[in-house]
Amino acid sequence: MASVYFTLFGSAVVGCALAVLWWLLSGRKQATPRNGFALSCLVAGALGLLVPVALRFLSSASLLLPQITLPAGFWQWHRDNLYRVPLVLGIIALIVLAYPLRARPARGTADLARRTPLSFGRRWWFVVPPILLAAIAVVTIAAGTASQPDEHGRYRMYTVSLGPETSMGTNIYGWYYSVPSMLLIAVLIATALANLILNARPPLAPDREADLRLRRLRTRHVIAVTSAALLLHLGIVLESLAGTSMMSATVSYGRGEFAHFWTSFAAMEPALRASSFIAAALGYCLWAAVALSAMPARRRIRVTAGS
Amino acid sequence: MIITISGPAPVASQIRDQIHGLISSGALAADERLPSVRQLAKDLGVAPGTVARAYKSLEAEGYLATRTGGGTRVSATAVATPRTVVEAARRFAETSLREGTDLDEAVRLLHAVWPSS
Repeated sequence: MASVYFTLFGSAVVGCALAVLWWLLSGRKQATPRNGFALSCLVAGALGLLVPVALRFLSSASLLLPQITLPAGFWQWHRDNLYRVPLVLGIIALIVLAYPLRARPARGTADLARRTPLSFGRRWWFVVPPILLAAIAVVTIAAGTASQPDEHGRYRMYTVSLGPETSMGTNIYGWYYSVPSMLLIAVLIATALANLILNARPPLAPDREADLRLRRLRTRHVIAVTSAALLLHLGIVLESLAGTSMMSATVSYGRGEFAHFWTSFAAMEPALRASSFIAAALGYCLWAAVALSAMPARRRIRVTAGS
Repeated sequence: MIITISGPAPVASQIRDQIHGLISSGALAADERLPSVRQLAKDLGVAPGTVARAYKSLEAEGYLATRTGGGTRVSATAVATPRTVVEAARRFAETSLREGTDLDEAVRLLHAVWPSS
């Protein structure tokens, strides 16, 4: 039973542990202003962390808690929306992180430094989402081209021929699932960019240092939430492909002769499972880190000798 | 690099004079990009045309250069201090402030690490 729990929730536990470690070592030193933005961080992070875990629990309810009976439509809904949930949560979290929005009137003073959406973050932060997008694109195209239409014409089947008129088939992350996901990813990226633009546009506040600190924090959280949504989505896709790869069959030809059949990418199953775990753990880590950033910072008190 | 609008002098002249001062003092490096007309106008609370007049005036005097798609930049010939040096100095100042090092200490440090010729 322990292995079942690890398979279901191990990535979330590892991700949260990593986030707590980061917060203890370095996150506590960075102050999140005690205002509405801290609440936005907490809500956004908690949303991204708790909803996928809750869905995972519900989808395994028959195994973990057999006495729970779920509505019949839940399983169909879960199968169709499994890949989209992290992306939708990412979009909602990015909208939450945009608050509080404060109109800042011009004060007749301006800083001549250019402000762009990329001005308040370290360069390497902005490299992470494109790398994740490239990984998702590779996996999506590979799975999509391998998918075939089912009886309803939906490209979500993967079949292996067993003979002249026989084949075996199973579900795969085909175009039926990936096209809506790609649209949601486009909305996610657009929302992230809008958030960065809203962060950069207003003039700097009278307390310039505090304002710059807050803008850097906002930028970091936007990148973190976007990356977390992409990572969780990628993790679910890879886990699904690992399941698909396990399809196999043994066919008897009589006279004690058997033939074994499996998918063309069966050997990739361990790698798919491992990379799925890592991607999901990193995604959960980022969600938890955003939520933890709402905790009060550890104050540095300068002590001089003799005081 | 803050500019402030105050007093009765024409706003475009105030903008022009302050940017000119920042360039001459080396606070703005050669080839450094200035904010767009719209951004600066919005920050100052003035009409974009006012900022555009100030930029045009400085461009005519050779202090600024405008490239299509490249925005408005400090002219390469307007300042003696290279952009890389000004940017490194800004990073040094930001790091010093963040770590609680004051200006006098920072200058002492520069003297200490400056290679002797």
